[in-house]
Amino acid sequence: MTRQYSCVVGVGTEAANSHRRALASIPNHFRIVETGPADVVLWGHRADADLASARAVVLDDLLAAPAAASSARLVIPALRFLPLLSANGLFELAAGRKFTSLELNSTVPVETTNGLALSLLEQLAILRILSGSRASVAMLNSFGTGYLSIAKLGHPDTAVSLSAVLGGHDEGDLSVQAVSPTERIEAHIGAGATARPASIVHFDSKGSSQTIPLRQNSLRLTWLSAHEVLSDGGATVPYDLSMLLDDLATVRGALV
Amino acid sequence: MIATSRARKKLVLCEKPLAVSRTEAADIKRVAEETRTPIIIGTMHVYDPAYRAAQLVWHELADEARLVRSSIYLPSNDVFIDQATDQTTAQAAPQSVKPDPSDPAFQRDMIRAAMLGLAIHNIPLVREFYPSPGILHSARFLPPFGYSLSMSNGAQAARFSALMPGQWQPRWTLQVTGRTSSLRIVFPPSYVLSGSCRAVLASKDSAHVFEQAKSGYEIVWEHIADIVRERAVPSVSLETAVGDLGFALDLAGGAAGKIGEVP
Repeated sequence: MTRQYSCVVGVGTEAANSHRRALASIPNHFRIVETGPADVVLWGHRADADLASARAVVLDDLLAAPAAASSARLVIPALRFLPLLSANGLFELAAGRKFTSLELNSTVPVETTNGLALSLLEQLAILRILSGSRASVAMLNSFGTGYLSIAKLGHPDTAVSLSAVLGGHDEGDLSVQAVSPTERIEAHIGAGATARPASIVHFDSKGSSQTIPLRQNSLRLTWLSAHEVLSDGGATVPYDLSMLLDDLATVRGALV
Repeated sequence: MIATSRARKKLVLCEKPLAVSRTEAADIKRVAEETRTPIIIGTMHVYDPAYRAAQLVWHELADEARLVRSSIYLPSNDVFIDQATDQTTAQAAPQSVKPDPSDPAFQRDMIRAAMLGLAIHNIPLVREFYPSPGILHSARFLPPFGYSLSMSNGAQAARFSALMPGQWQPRWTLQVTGRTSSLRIVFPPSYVLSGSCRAVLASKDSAHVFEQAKSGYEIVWEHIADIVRERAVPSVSLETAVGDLGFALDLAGGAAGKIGEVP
């Protein structure tokens, strides 16, 4: 039988609404409580929850990581794209492969608060898991409505380009192009709280193959991951607080 | 080009690029205008009927292009030449010295060649959204033949990437992100007559798909026939073509200058 944990997610904010939508689809895993102590607390953009008594914090306001980390035992970053890309097999597919070029591009809705900083943070997180090494920013040009960046990985043979722009017609998206002369991986994922699936296609000399798409939202996957960590002492999250703090320092250095 | 123009031909179809320097391009333009010789550059995608239709609707939306991304990932040219025609088997000339791909001089030559031979295909289309190169922030040659470039001009930016030959199916795209709209165009590879591009112009509440039976190649040749019969004038002016070449030469020079720089 699935063990149920209590959680506080707040009300009225966009973050609270998005997480409530995700939690509504896993009622056996989490029970939302409006006040009082809870097993898990969502740290959102209006964080006023009691962190001290919580066993874990799901961190939605990623740029506030140091504040949340100071009083929580376990912090699980709620990234918008990485969990679904991971669950849909992107990182497994890319593991151990050497690419000539890696290109990540994000489209961010104009009205998103700190949208470009969050975009760069998520791109660095994806690069870290994709390549297995920490990414640094060698060049970043802000052009008013976006940025162009060159990142460096542990191995210099891969050209890594990151870009993001405020605009577009939708709730935003992220695309990944990983290219070598022998194979190519294309990934595309929409933002937003819907369960629209990511598209991940692998191309080589035999044609192309695509994993069966998962119709799950990244936030739902984040909460399932939190449940797993709480239930299984040995379980870990693929992108943890130390990685987040490291990438956050890179973002702050690059976007000064 | 100059001799052909002076020979009073009805039209000159020029394989891209128009020239390899601004001086050459200016001389060609001057003589073509003196002799009233129409010149068509074989940049087939700019004639693609679905692209033209999508570009027109984008223009009517009056959105501003913020980020333009051109990606050209292609297998060997032979793959599509063999699907489009019947080649005679030619013996490849023996290569006396194998170049070192890590040599900066080799990379500079290759990235110049890539700008004038590969990027030039998309440049006339890119310029309809992003008119001049502005500041080139980064450029890198990608072996065996490709590039990765980033540039910005005021509130606009562009990314160019390419790699060939690859052992996978082609991906030739142009993507434009505006303030409230997005345009994504997927082109067919060169040589084959497999119809137009597929362009999707998406705004907040709707998406329009543009796709037609004819390719840019077919439209170019129909256009040539109309010009020769004096039913039309070139839809792409020589001034625009010279501007396209100037954009490519700026990138070629700028990209070659970036080789060896540590970003």
